Amino acid sequence: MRLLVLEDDPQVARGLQEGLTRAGYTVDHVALPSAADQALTREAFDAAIIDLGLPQEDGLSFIGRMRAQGVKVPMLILTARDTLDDCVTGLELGADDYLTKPFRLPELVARIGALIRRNHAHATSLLKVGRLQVNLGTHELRLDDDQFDLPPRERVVLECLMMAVPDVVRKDRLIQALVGWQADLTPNAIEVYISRLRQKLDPLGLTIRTVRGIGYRLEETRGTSPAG
Amino acid sequence: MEGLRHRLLRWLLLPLVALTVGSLVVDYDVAMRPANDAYDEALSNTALALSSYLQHENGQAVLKLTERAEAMLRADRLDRIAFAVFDAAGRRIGGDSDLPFFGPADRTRFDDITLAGQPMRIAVLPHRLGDEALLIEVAETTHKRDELSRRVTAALAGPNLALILITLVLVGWGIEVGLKPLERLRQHVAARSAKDLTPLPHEAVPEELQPLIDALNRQFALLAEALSSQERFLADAAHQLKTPLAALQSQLELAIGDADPASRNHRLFEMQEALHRVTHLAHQLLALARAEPSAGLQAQRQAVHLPAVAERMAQSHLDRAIDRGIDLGFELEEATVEGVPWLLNELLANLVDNALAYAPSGSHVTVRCGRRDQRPFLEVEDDGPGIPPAERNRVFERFYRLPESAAGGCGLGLAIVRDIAASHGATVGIREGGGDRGTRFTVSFPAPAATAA
Repeated sequence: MRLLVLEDDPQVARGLQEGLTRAGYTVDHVALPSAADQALTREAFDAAIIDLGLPQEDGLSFIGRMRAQGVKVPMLILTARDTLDDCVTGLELGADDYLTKPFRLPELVARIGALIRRNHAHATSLLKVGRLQVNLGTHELRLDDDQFDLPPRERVVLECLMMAVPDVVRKDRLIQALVGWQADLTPNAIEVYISRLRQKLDPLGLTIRTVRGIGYRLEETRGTSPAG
Repeated sequence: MEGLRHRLLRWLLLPLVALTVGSLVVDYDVAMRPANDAYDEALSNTALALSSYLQHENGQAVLKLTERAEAMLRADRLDRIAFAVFDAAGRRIGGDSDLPFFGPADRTRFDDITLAGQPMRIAVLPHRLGDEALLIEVAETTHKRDELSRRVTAALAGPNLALILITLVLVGWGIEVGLKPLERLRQHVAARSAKDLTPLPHEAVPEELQPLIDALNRQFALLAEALSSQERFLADAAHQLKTPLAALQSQLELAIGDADPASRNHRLFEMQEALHRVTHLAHQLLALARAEPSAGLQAQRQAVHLPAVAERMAQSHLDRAIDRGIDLGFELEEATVEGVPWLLNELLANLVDNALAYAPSGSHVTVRCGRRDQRPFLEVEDDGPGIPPAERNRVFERFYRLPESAAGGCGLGLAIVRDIAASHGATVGIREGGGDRGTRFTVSFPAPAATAA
């Protein structure tokens, strides 16, 4: 997995490079947008980390320019501006996620992992969480290398949860996903599917957490290492 | 703006001068009218005297004047007198040939004329001789009248000018005396140090100035309060910033010389904690500064969907709640407010942070939003130890922390909540949570305007 880091502060850049290298990534660091421009248009990266406060060109306009040139690499914004407006603008311009400085390395690694996983799923239709892998095209589920069978409605729910990791999925979103299968679905029915899924996923190191009043989140049971 | 002294002078002196000039005109008229009437009367008497020298001769009216009589008629100290007698048709019967016919007249009248370039006063008198209607004209130059006018004018001008001058001096002096308290106040204020915010003296100030002094003193008091709160804030902020930095520095210096891996690791952990405190404080100080009502937030306002704000909170705070063993839950109903999105995120984040910090493991924290009596609200409730009623107002003060509080934190969170709420026209209330346990913070936003609904 290869990452591009566009960051002009050498100390932050060194920290990023070392931390991400330790997490198993190959890291290319550039300090100037012009260099990042060349790298992104000529070489293949799995994700890019873009600092917003840059010399030469503002990070936001850089992101917009890259997207306009057809660069599809998932991008994560790093910014010391924490007014959120910049982050929202960044997402509108085509960035995929953001993190405000100062940040903790484990969080950055988790965000980058999720970004790559989602992008990978988008490109290959294969989405992997822990030992489970779902083919978004054929809806085929695999546990390690073996087929993993689930009743269709449970499979739809699990797929939704896997797609969202590490975010929480709203209950009404799950209901919408199931409407094609069952017209008069009650929130209680969702709970039934969730409870059945929990029993089946628990031995695999996966937990479904209830977020009271909002929905559910699929997590790798604590203690197991996240996939890079 | 022009000075008070000039205004007073202008608005006192202009009317006074106008009044004096008006009275001068009236006085002149009053003095001149009877004198002119007397001169006119004398003129008409001359005409009357002339009439006695008219007689019929051969059925024709003639003027029979002896030289002596004519000299008497023309006798005048200053003026030349001209006269003439005409019949009804305007034919000259006698007298001076250069005096034209000014008739007819049915009674005595007076007129101002010019004769050979000289201004003259004329009396025209109708006279009946037998059954013939005649017209007697007597004119005189205006020398004695002009002389009189000069004398009257001179007599009036002197005293009136003196009156104006004396008034000028008196008014100027009165203004000077009247404005003296103002000048004293000016000197008093000018002599104060720029930092002196003690109230201005109330005594020895005219009652018209008292409201001004009161207003100024109120302003001074507010400013003094703001300054001292600013000073306290800076002292607290300096303490809060420098303490973790000191911890960081000392642990770092110790770690550099520390050969034992276990104790080095412990020091690194300590450093991380200190760093976390500084980071948090930097974030909170910035949030506080940005929530200032003067921070130009009006432009950033937009419709904010409160359930979306709460859901963002679920994503960002869930892991912390799990770490602390707290059940973070949500009860979200539709509500939209006009506000600044990131500030409202910050507000809710601080309320949730606060609840997560003070509620013990195993407790429940619930985030609610919706509408009550048309007013949108955001609410965070925990079933932790709660805040004693006596402390409930103080917790919103900057850097205030509950006594004997175990939780870390810089004491700015609720001040930020209060400031952000205020900048949105919202109120923050604290009371017990359900079952009289824990704490419930409720932020009530103003009801949307009818037009916006």
